Amino acid sequence: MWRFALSVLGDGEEAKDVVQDVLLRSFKKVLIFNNQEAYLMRAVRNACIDRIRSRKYWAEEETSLVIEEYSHESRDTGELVRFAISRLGLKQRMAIQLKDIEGYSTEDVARILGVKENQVRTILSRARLKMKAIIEKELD
Amino acid sequence: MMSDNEIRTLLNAFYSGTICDQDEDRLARFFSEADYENLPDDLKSSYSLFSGHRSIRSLKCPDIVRPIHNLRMPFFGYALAALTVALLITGGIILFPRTHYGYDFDGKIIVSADKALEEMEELHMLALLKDNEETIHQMFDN
Repeated sequence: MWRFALSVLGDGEEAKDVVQDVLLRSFKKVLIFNNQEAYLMRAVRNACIDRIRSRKYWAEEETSLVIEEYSHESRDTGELVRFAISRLGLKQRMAIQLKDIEGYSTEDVARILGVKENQVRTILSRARLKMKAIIEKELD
Repeated sequence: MMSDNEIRTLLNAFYSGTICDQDEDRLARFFSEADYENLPDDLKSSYSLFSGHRSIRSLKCPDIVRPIHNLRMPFFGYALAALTVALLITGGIILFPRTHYGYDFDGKIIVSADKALEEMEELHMLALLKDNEETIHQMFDN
């Protein structure tokens, strides 16, 4: 949950706040759901979006975070991929985090993001191609 | 062991979003075991991508749940401080005269040291006069 919130918000402390808020609000309700993990991740996603909206600059497709600079000297692939993810739009960032990093199924990702499975595949395709281009540019 | 062309086919499916979970796992496993330096150039960026995913996945969640009082402390801390100060002031107003100046002999609170000394002197004088009443009478009679 924290990693997902971090990828969306770009700030570790804010991500912690979001996760704690979600846990406090959900600890009674979550037990009635079959797929509790997806329920919680959906709650984190909604909480992150509320936070971003409250920042007063909200464009669902365009909101990217330049939260990291990639240091060529370090050659750290984790840092490189985080840099690439930060350059994605909000939905792409969430889809990549859920599918490629957290390992959720396409069905669960669709449920968490509130979109259809076909849309998830399209979002993932665009995000992955964009990340590949960014990585290739940095490696050159 | 998969050939480079097999890998490229799977990668096409990966980047088009049509890859199934099983094939995606095979790709991830391949890149986790591959040697970066021996890979063809067109596969190196994908190697970095999968390697980066593994690295991010290994990020440990920090201590999320903070004690509630840490979150609420500023409000309660200030309220407690204000209450303590108020109690000290009130207590000081009530108790300070009693502890510093004491009571008079009739049980009333004396509010100044001068008054207390006055009372004591008066009583001392009275005690002296009482002890020497006979002598004083004698003085006046004579």
